[in-house]
Amino acid sequence: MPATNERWPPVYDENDLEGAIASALRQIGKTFFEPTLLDGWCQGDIVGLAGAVPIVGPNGEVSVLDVPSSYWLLLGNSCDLDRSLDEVAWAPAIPLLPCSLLSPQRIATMQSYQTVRTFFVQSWGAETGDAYGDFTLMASVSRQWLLQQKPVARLRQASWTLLNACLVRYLARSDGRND
Amino acid sequence: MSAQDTSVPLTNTQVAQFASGTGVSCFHHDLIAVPAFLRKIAAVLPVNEEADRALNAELSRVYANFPIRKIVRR
Repeated sequence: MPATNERWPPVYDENDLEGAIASALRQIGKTFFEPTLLDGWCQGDIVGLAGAVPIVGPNGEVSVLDVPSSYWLLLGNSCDLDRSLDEVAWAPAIPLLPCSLLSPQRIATMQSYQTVRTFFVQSWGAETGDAYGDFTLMASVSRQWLLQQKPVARLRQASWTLLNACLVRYLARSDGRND
Repeated sequence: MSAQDTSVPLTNTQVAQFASGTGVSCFHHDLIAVPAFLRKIAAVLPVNEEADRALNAELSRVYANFPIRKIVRR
């Protein structure tokens, strides 16, 4: 897995993880994306996809939620994205929504990565503004379709470290029942 | 039953797998490591509960304007 081996930080225990996240927070303002894209797909890659989010609607009917988004953020683990289609056929992803939907105050709080369900993404091109992904809008993307596409942008190591930490925090944050 | 009751010792490889991102799918054998990792994430990436609630409320208001289209089965 050349793409992933080159970009995953050498974290071996929880203390290393703390240092890696702190370092990522310091670096995040510099460059959010890799200058060049390696082959394959990685967690945190952005894929162009104009579409809606498939949902089960308020009355239990299969529906789609029309969102103002033309790009999605891949959340599947890089190792799963590297497996054969026979092993893993689908990858979770969330739409990237424009920050312009929200008030400046809310955007500022997302930029500090101190909110649970969102991940702030800096603009990845001249025509795109800052965006955010909402972990509650997760959908499955066919990896067979992904194989026919190219990533639009790829997070660099620091921004991917933050995404990974935010995703783990969202999925595994304690609800206090065993405190 | 607490997570620790069902835990097994981790190898360095397993800890590295979890920390590097593969571990999101490896919780079943990383149960000792998870609380420690989460504590570290919480320490360096704390949640602002007040801001979190305000953001959630604003997201709900924004999303209420997104149309929902029922998929017609054929």
